[in-house]
Amino acid sequence: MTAFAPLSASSLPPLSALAQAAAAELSSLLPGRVSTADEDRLSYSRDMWSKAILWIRQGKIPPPPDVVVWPDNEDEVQKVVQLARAHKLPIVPFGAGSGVCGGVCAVRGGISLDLKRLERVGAVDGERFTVDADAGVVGEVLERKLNAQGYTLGHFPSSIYMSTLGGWLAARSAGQLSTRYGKIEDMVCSLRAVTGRGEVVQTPERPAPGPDLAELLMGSEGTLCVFTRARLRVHPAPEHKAFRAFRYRSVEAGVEAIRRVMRDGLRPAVVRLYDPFDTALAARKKPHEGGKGTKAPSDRGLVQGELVPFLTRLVAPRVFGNPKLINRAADLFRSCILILMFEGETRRALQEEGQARELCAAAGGADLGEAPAQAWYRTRYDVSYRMSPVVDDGMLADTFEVAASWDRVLDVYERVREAVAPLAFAMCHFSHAYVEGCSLYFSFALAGAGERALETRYDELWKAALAAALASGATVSHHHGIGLLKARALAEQLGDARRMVQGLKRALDPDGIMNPGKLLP
Amino acid sequence: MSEGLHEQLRDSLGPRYEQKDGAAWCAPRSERELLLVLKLLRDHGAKLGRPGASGSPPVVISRRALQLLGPWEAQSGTVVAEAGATLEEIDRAAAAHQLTIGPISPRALLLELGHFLEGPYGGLRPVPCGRLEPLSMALTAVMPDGLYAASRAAPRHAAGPSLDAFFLGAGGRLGLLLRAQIRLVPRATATRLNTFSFPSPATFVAAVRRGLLGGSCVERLRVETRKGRVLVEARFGGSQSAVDRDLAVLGTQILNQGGRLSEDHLQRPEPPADRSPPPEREVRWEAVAKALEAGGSAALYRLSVDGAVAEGQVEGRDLSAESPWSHPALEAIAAALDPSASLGGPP
Repeated sequence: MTAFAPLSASSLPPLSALAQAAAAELSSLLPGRVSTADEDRLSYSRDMWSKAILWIRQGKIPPPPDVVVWPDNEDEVQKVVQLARAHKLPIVPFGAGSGVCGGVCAVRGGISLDLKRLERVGAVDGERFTVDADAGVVGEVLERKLNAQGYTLGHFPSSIYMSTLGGWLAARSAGQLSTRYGKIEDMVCSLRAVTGRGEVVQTPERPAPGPDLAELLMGSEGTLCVFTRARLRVHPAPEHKAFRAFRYRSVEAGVEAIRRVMRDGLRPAVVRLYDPFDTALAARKKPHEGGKGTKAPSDRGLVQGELVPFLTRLVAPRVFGNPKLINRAADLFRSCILILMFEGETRRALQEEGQARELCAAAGGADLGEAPAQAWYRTRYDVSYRMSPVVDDGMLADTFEVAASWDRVLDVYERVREAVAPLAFAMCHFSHAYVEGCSLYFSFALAGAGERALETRYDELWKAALAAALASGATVSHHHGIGLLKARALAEQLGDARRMVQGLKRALDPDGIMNPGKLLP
Repeated sequence: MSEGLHEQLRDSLGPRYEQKDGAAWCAPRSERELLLVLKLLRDHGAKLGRPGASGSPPVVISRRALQLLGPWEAQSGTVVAEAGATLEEIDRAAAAHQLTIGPISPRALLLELGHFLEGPYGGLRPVPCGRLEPLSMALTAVMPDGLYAASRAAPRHAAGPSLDAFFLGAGGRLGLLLRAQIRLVPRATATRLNTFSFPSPATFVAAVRRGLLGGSCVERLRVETRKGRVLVEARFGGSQSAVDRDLAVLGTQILNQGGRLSEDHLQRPEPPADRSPPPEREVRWEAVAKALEAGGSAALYRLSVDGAVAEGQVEGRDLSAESPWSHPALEAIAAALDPSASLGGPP
């Protein structure tokens, strides 16, 4: 899938003369905030892409940058880009490294530009309902600062503790409450960025005459510009949250219930329908109801800390090594859980929840009350941390999120599952609902006979999943972005229209220094 | 325009080619003919013009003959419409499927789909929580090089920069729209008109902004000043339960801002149905408040937290004419995509 090979741990490439010269110049620009140290280059060589994690496990190094820099403000970002352009040295913008598509791998070396020191958050404009925030601010910090003023952004990705505003803009992020508040591109009033030309761009307040420049920059994953600041729409903090859950006898019935809720004009903040096996696993997670979280490894006893992982390591790869079997077993499960949450003004939230209850019951749902939805809400950020045990057990896990219109959603679901069935165990939930369709979020677990075989299977899995998604009419990503992982698939999705994106690149990054190798191959 | 191009266009289009009002008008009856016209323009190094442009007689393309509708997609509530169909025609046809394009301003309703999406309106429609989004879910356009660009029919994506953004609001200067899959909503089964009065323009604006953010969908507001107060008539549409919810949310904000229900009737007349609707502007709420302070009145459509489309005495961007683009970077993008400016270049 990727055209480059990772390095072995002993072969971190030495700095070229060009990189050394650039590092010296950068040091005078940003004294004390430039590093060519191996540990920094290693740290910035990857994000949370599963394949990069696999490489690390194999003792290989994803392509590292030559230099890491930490600018303090937009002016310094601009100077770094101008310097890079003068040296024709690649620039890789870096937020908090929570991407899952290899978007920060420095495939041609160059400068890794960490934006986290750009972290100012202004006061909320309570008349226009906007806030100005720097691109490097971490999501949870931004939300906390807004909450302190009585507002919310309404953007809650699972990665909120380890992702930045700039990363959200770069990858067109979506939060768990996107059905009400929209994706990040729906929240942007205007933004500022430094293009690959080294010029600062301030997009006009939307809507504005001509093409929407913000829409042309967002989702560019560092290949056109470095985001520095954005003006965002905020909302008064919600007065009330109303929860509800339903059980359906099939995926089809659950999807139809969501469709009816959305077509009726309701706007739940959260919509999540778990497919049968995902439902079965979710139901197994008792700690939610008991209020206990997952124990840290250091807190586990001998049985939980040593014996269980040992047995898991022994058994799991054999089970997941034959995914057809386990996928077929998963087909025995039928029922699905739908979780809804409404928030906002109390009366409105309760009215909408009541109307949704009627619609969901009419669609064949059994009312499970509030508890399952509240349980999900309490542990909504746990998922990001729950993947690591699978990886520790010698397997690999990954997620794939696509979007499609209602008429295609079930076809996408069936075709992707069918395509990946010989390669990985797959389950799915349906979320981020719109009036016209929704996102499908697949979770994969796979094993292989050895690391090399696992990597091969991983590549085959993604090839099959992307081909099936494209063939059934879905877009290749709803909110994780493209990076290295899906670049070929995006080219296929765009067809001849990739010329438009290439034209955009020529206009804003004529020297091709901005995050090379990403988005399009 | 060269004599050779003139002859080739005449030979290719026959009666669908004519010279009038200082322009060469091409009215292709199919996508194929439209692509042929664009190819001839490129072959002759000619540029696509706009009606009323100065200089040598421009070549103008009318897509009015491209007005096929379908397929209708009942589950997603969408239809594929060719660029020449007017929104009014689409809405009329949608009624048979119990669907509608939703609340839209009277002037926009008369536009061809292509002009609505590419033109000053930018193809935007209001959605709950005070946001705007394109009426189209997916577009098919012809690029300056004559090849097709088609976006995926998905409600949102994270697949790079928005492909649709090259065409929406771009005046056909980065590519010419051929057809779009447009989003439709269930036709309203209930409507409701309520009149409110506010102590000041600022309290009116604050209530509307908060109401929209809270999820209230308002089809239209008519507003005027009377005896030092602001009188507002709000029109809601949707299912009965949706209308009740929308009124409740807005009503709460109105009360919070010191407003109240009113028995008065607005003096501002409804636009006459038998005449062309008056010009419309894209306005910010600050401009609406200023106009009301000065004793003005307006009808407001396409409401968002940022502003509205207005008819009346409010300052804003004229939506009947193309404006210069908002940023120099867009000109650089146009130059990269269409170096010979065959589609006319930026306005």
